[in-house]
Amino acid sequence: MWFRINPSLALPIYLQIIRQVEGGVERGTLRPGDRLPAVRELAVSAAVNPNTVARAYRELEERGIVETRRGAGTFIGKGSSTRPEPLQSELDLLLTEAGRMGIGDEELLRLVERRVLGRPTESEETEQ
Amino acid sequence: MTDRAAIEAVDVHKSFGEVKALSGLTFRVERGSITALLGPNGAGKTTAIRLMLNLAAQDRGSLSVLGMDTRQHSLLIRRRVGYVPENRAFTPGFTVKRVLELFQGISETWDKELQNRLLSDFNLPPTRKVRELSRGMTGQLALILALSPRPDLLILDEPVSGLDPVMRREFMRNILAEVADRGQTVLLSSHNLSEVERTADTVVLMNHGKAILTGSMEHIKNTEKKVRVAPQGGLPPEVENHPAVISVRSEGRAFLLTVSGDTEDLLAQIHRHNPFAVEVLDLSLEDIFLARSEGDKQ
Repeated sequence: MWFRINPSLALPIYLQIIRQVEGGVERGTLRPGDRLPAVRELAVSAAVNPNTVARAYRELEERGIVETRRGAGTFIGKGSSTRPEPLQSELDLLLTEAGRMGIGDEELLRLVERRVLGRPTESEETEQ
Repeated sequence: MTDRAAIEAVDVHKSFGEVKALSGLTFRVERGSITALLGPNGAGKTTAIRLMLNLAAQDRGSLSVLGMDTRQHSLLIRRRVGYVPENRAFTPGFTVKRVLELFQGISETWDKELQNRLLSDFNLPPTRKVRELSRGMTGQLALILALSPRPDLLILDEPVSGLDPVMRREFMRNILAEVADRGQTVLLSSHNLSEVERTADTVVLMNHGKAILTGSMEHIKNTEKKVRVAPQGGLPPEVENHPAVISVRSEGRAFLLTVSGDTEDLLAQIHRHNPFAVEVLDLSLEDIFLARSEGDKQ
């Protein structure tokens, strides 16, 4: 896999790495079991700090996208075999805005359902 | 003058079924002020705040935030308002860092330096998932989210409820002061009156869905006093019914009057009856509130 790292972008380098791996999984160019370059290897070829790469890998592991097998390296995880569902980032934004407004997951689900079913929303949440 | 108001509520009413949450709430918050919205639980503070963000709609009355009508411009308003709700509801599976990244992505004015400073001040671990955060930590995350975009108006609903005492003092003294120094407006609600007494410069005292007293902290503390009178015999009716008297409590043979406004005339009336003793006392915000909600004569 080729990484295109551009240090002059506003996006932090570790996030660039994460997005590229996520993007690869999303497009199907990275499949479960595929091996990612070793931390040091990628750091040298992309001319970035090994800590930055390690951080990106750690985060990808937290997100369940890669697995680290001791001694063998970092691989695309089995959990990411199904292509990600659509509108994930839009949903994340909605969840974030709801969270900021103190609207919990259950209330949000109720609001979405009512919106979809076209039921009147009483006096709650009368956006525009 | 409306343009100088960060928030302006005029005769706002709101009921939930049979329950009247707001019944004629009127007050204004000046830009650049630190205004405390005070009152006991159930006074209508949270409802008032939710209306400001159009999370609910008033039955009648008008409400504007940063000069914009809350019903028509809620999206614009929210973009310029930092809000810490009483109930924090971040997605349990997200890490602190993920939540911050998402917000940073939708904010044009995000101050990363401030975010990082607050993260380390609060000692909040960025890799921790929301579901693993204590109540206090969730409150801290909410604060970082509200402060980092450097909003024109910061609305905090019971902001310190989850913070430990040291953090609480730090927050009230330093963080809010810095916000106000930048000309940002702060509205904070609290049922803890003594806590905001030193921080806020303006007070809106609420009870039963109404503002029962509004004004600058200084003015309120200068005009609201207690008078202890030991009269000969009972309390004369012209004293008890004097317009400056908010409430009366008997203390053995003496009476404790909470008074506001024209106390000169009241004191003259009291002295006409040759009382054994008269004493004028200062009031804490807590005393003022208690007296006002007892009397509740608006």
